[in-house]
Amino acid sequence: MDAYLIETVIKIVVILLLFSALAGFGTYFERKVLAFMQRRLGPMNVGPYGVLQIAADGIKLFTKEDLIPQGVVPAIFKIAPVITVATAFMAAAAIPFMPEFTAFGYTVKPIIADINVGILYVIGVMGVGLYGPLLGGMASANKFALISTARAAAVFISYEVVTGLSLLAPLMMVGSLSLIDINNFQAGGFTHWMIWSQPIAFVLFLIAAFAETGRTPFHLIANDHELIDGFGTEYSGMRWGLFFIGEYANMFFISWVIALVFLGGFGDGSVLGALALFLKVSFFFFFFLWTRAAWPDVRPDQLMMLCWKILMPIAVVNIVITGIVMMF
Amino acid sequence: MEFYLSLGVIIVTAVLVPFLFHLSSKLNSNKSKTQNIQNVYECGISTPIKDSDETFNVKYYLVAIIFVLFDVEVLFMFPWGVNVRTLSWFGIAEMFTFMGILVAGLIYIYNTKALKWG
Repeated sequence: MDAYLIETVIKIVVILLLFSALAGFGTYFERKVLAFMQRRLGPMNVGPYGVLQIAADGIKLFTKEDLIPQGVVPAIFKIAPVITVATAFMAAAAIPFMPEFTAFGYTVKPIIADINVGILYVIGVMGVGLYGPLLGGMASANKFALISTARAAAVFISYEVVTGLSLLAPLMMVGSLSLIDINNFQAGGFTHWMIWSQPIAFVLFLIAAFAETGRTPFHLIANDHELIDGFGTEYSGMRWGLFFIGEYANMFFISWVIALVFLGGFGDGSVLGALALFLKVSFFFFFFLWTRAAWPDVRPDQLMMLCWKILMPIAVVNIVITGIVMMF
Repeated sequence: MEFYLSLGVIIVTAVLVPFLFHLSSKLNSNKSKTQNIQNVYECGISTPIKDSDETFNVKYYLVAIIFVLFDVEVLFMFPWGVNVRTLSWFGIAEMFTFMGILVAGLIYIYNTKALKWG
């Protein structure tokens, strides 16, 4: 029991530190990708190719003055960024980051809690993460933040049903909610990937993932040219940094979920499979940035129209077809 | 059952670590000398025009109510989805009846124009 507890704590510390650092690297990567897509160079001055920009940004965020602006509700204002980060990292508990491997004669499972309702837990906890922007925006005495909060609610009530319905069809085929079982179901190789048997569910879940993480086509919550920084307008320093870490950690984790559910995950669990998983995750992270460079934002009513009148009926039809086909 | 322990540990850690990140800002002794930095931001206007805690009409409150209904219905579908092979045609018939009611509700909502904005 003690060994198990120590192993769990080590895994949690590694994941927390790794993904906090990866969030910083994600910002560098995002600035570079966006810059190259706009024929710029991006950060170039700090260190070789601007790599040390990450460290500079980190030091700036960590040492900035801790400001509580006028007119806020202090308790809620302070707790909101913590909710965003905490839920993002809690969601990581049920994600198998790599296949099992043996180090120094000790088998390590790179999953914190192997719960049998893994994917429901991940989606549920990520859903709770929306309380961060919601409470943060309402607690600050800023009109941009207030509009942003109203939009956060609009985004939430639109995509959540589509997320559930689009995931249901692949789960029917697997017959389990554990992400490891879902991965092992596709272990047969390239042709066994879920994306070939459930292409519609894949597209629907990908769209829902953009809404879930609040990335560009559905970046209504903090739409720069309309709402300044939305719920984050009044935040500064490390409190804003926490929102940032939460957003990028969420992007990584949702990329992991997409790769595990639809693109075969780590396959049979070999080293090659693990490398393939990292490539798939990197591709989806890149895809998030690519979309940001290529697409404008939609309006809130367009998002609700898209989710309720187009995606939801398609998802229901997809489940009906899957159910009937599975019976034969 | 060990995973409950892991879940407990990660929930505690995930809440504590952000608070630790906060502490870093306490190390910095540079305090701004003016109170103006604490003003509410409003496009360069130093005093905000009105309070931001007034009520305003969100047009999609009806959608929010419908959302609660449909989200719960989706949750009901998950246990069936996992056991769809064992339940076979019986499960399909039951669930399609349930989904038929769901779709009928959706069509009714379309017809009442609850999903129309602007």
